[in-house]
Amino acid sequence: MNPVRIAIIGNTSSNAQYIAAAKRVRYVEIDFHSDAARVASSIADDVDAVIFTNGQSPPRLIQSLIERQKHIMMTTTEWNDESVCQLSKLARQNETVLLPDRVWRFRPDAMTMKEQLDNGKLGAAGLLRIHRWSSNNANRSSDCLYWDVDLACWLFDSEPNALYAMQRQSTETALPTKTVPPKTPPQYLQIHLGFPNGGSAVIDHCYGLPAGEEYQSTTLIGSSGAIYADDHRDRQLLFRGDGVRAPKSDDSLVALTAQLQSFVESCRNVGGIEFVDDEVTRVWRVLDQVEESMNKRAAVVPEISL
Amino acid sequence: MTTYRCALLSVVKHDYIPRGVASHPQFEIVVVADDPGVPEWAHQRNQAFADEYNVPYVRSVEDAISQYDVQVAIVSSEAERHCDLSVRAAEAGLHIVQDKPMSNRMSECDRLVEAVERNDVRFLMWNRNGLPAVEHAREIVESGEIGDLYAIHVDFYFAKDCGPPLGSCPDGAPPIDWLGHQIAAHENGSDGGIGSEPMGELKVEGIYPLGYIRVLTGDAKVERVFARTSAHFHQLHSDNHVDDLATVSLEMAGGIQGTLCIGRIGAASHPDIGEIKIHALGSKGGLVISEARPEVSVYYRGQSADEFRNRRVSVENDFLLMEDFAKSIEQRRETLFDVRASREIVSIVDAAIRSSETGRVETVGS
Repeated sequence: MNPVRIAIIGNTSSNAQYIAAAKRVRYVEIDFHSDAARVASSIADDVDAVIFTNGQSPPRLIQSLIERQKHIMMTTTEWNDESVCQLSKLARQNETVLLPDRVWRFRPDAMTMKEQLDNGKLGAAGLLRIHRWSSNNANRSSDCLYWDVDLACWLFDSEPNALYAMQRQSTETALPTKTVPPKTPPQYLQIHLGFPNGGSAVIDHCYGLPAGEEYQSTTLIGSSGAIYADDHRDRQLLFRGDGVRAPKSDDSLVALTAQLQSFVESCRNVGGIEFVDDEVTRVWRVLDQVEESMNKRAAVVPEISL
Repeated sequence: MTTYRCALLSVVKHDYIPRGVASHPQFEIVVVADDPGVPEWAHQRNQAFADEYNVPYVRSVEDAISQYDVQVAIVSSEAERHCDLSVRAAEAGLHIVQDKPMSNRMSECDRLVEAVERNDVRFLMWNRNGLPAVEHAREIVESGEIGDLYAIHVDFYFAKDCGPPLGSCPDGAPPIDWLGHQIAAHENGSDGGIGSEPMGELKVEGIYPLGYIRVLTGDAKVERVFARTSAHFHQLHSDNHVDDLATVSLEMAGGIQGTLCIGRIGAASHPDIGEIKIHALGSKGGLVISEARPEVSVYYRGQSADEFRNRRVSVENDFLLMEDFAKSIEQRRETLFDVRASREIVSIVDAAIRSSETGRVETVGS
């Protein structure tokens, strides 16, 4: 069985994570690069796929790679509606995989939720409640927001039909949406999404914790069951005489590994190629509405086709 | 030490409130009373409680107040009678401990505020702010350890059933009668919405999480809300067009933001009474509180499925509420959850329900 040869375009930090993840994935060989242009010009012929992890993925470069029938996974912050539609069309024509980085779908809590929804044990999704607090993800606030809106739409299998969003910033700066990356990231966001089945997703992101560990809590309540995934439960106690600390074991590789495995399987055409442009554009529509709601300080009622 | 004689004006709903009052050494239940025209099932409940406490049951509220030298009224009737009984108690000069919700009518709340203030009596809305975890959270926030509070979230999911699950009744089945169901549900204590008028869980239980928000924000006024409500779990709620799941975004004075998620999520969805948590963010840090803790876990062979495995311990809520109530009487000051705070909660819930109907952000009190 031939492995999928993947070029990872990233920085030292992301590369280290992918090195560790790749050890856990079948049928993959990975090379690492920091220069996207070099990949396009000289390395592409030696690989089957390219993963962009640090925002060096201009549409023209992606287009060139797709035309050479390379599979692509990339962060979504550099995309826009026009480019994703063009690139998706091109990917379909060339039968290549074009996937957004949506790593939070592959977190153990999210995968469990999706699995239990799909097998009917939870009944209909009623409430998705997410608290995500950190001190060091501010420069990734756009990604975080994208991932959680994607998660909500995925679990409710729908686009919201009601929305209200608020934020808190220490200074007046741009909003952390896809269209305007923030100069100074927000300290705090909260988003309230309503879905056509009557359910809601209520999400708060804090980027202003003091330096240290982050906190995440995800709850999904369905009509016949619920799933609780809360760092509060998963922390251990460490006594050092200067107050108790509550460290959590590092499971950050689990989601990255699962996403990489999924990408490899898509590239190997296991179960057919997955096209996700509709899922990407629906998240962007929601992010536009989040921005609109914050600007107007009003609820937004999106028009969606069911 | 003064002992206050209490008249229990209707005990058709939660008897944990009169029991909580009576557990404090300064309060003594001396009579149970209700109006003569209440239904027979109500008389039976009142009589049973009176018998247990070995006090008389009087089928006239005014006679009981005039004949038994009482200083305090405890009101735990159907929601639509709460304010009327409390107003009559206030007019008689009695201090009042009342069950939630304050009322299902803003006009009734206003009538009670006026009566309490004009008669200069103390009023306590029963609440859970004295639970050890909530007290702990309040101490931490007030100490300044997390800095200036700017966001607060309360998850309040209580894992109780409420008749048949949504969609489980056969086609063509008649709607479930609200009051009939609530009367039948008294045995397992899930009759918080008892009354002729159906009430959603936000209206019935909203006082508790909003009470947490109130105490932790230092009584910051909730100015605007956006809310969604649905009947997601129970046929009873769907048939009676009230919510069993509600989500509310809150904008408060001082730039504080927050959310509240509340639902009667069904017994299958949690091993104990439910997941109840408080998340608070401040300029210096964050705080995550599990409202149920401290608790002890109990497991044994043959344990019934509906017995909670985790039991709350060190709970002094009853004592703390009544201690404050006693002091408020002695010091002629307001209680920690007075009549205006109670009215404010109803006003927030009212705006949230309005928002869920209009789809817009609604101003509280408009």
